[in-house]
Amino acid sequence: MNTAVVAIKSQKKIDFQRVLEPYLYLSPALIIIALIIITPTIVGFSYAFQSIELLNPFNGGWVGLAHFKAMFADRYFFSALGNTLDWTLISLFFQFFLGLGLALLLNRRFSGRKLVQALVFLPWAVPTFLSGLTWAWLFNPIIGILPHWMSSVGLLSEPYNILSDPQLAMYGPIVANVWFGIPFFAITLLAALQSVPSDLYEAAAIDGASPWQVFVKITLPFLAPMIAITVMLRTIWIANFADLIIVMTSGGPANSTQTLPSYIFTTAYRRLDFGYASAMAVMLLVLLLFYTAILLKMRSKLAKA
Amino acid sequence: MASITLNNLSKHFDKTQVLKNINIEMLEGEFVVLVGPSGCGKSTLLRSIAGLEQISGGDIFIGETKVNELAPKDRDISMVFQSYALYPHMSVERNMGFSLEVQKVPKAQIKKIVSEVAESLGLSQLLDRKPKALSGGQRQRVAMGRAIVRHPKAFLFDEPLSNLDAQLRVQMRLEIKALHQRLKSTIVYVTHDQVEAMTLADRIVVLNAGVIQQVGPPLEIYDRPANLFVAGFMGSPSMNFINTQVIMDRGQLCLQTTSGDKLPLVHQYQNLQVGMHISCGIRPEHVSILDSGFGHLQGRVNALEPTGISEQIYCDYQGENLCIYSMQRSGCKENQAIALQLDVHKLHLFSEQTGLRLQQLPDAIAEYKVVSGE
Ligand SMILES: Nc1ncnc2c1ncn2[C@@H]1O[C@H](COP(=O)(O)OP(=O)(O)OP(=O)(O)O)[C@@H](O)[C@H]1O
Ligand SMILES: [Mg+2]
Repeated sequence: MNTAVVAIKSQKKIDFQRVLEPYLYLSPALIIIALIIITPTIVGFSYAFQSIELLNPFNGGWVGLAHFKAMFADRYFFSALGNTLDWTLISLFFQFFLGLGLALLLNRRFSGRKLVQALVFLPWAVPTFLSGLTWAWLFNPIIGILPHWMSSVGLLSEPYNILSDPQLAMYGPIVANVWFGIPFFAITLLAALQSVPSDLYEAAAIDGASPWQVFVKITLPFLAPMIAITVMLRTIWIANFADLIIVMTSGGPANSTQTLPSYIFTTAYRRLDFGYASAMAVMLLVLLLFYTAILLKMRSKLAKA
Repeated sequence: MASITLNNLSKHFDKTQVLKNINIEMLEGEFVVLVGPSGCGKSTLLRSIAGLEQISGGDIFIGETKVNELAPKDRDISMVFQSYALYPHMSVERNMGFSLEVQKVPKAQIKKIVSEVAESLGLSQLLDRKPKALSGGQRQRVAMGRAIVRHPKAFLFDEPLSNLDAQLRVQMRLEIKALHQRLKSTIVYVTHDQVEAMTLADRIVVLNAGVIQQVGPPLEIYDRPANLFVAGFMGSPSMNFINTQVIMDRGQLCLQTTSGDKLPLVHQYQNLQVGMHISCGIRPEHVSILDSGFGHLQGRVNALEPTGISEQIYCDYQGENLCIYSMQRSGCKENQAIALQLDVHKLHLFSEQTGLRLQQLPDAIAEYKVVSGE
């Protein structure tokens, strides 16, 4: 009798240990994550429901959903949302397809391939601030060459700075962003390409598939998981990426290049309205979460099919 | 169906020559097996025929067509890879029908052809599965099915059974043989498994270091190996070799071993001269242990390997390891001294200088028949 009770007790102890033990080992990582990710997120969330204006320090305190109500009445918020969409989709489209093309080229054998690979990945290593400045200069007709080229091929009526034209200004940062982002897709897709077993290509060559059929029926299915994950990551990244815009146009002229992140940045650090900026940041987070959920759902559906 | 002819084919990677002056004529419907040690160039030869490797010299004909410059798909051959190379993201059905799919054959027709082939290979139940949900043997069959669906002029197999366990290998071997008899197609088959080579081949091609050593029907290669390499390579356990010299002993030509034992030569051989150094080969099954008397040679048992059905006895003679293969259980012990009797009709003579076989003269074969008929 007695021994049975003892056995049960020690059994419970062992179970308890077994449950707890992994968390003990994980605790250093958990503590770090809590400190540097979860805490700022919660603080940021709480700002979204408070009035925190450095220029108006006595007007603090909880304001409920006031910021969100203001947001829906804010014309600039919606124009920034539209710009964010343009900025993200156009940049992503060109980054992806040019990156894929580059990866396919780099996957072929040619002499000096190692060197070319290293050079191709250079834009990625240039600080964004620097590339933003350089591109801004390139678009400047006084020191840059691009406006002159564009006018000689007929894209522009005369060589002027497109960054100061509200109709065209957005394309400046987009071009810089595409240049900056191609290497990311090229690197990741090249890695995925090289993981396709070469005997599959040989089997396909014997089966009589044309190069296009090989690409569509063998290469693409192998790349699909990588494409899904990189496109998702890059969308979030580009949508959140304001450095180039801040450096090249600061959201101007006339707010024509203002995206949500750059609007948030301006609101927080120029107008010093942290409450409203946090509320918009929360909104952006919700939108991106929504997008990610849709993409993940699509992916799991594709994987099953 | 078509013949395959290789004329003076050679291939080198950078500076290393992998194939040298390969000349083979494979007949229509013939089952040709390429054997040779690892790295001798079997896969390279097969891949050259398939068009996956650019050849450095010579010509390849499939049927009457010279295919040197043709892309793999235009050579109308099928290849079964050692790794199977099944498309992992496609079902068995799509894998098998892929060659038709890329030719834009109507779906209904593909389905019909694939299901017929699947039926014949016992794959009908598995058509919806992905390759990773198949066993090794099933994958192998899908790979064969994919090759058959195309109705090619010739099949190329690169060690298709080497990833299977022994039992499955025997089963698949029989299936491949049945397949060949059913389709009557030209097959070039690479293996380094002796038994596969002997049982499947109409003709065996033995390769070593990129050079053809011998081409012939399996039993001819076994019974009359053209040189020391083929003699040592084909057959398991492999042939024994004894260093000897030709002498004339009381009017009879004999081989004398270094320790002075004499083996009488009962046949006549081309180019045999007294004083020649001969490497004398004798297969393990042609050596027997005498219960009494001295026999031809006296050895000492090194090791015994009973397999149940037979027994292999390794014994020491002149510092050489001699193998004896016997269907009887000898009851020998290690270190026991034994007397060995050689079947002197079955001696293989190779010149030590050139490594080449000394051909037995035809009248000697007639004599042999009389002797064995006694
Ligand atoms: N792409 C290559 N570049 C350089 N050398 C190669 C290449 N492919 C094969 N070789 C060399 O060619 C020789 C023959 O190779 P091959 O693959 O034909 O041998 P194999 O007879 O098929 O051997 P195994 O039985 O091990 O498959 C080897 O020495 C190998 O090192
Ligand atoms: Mg090989």
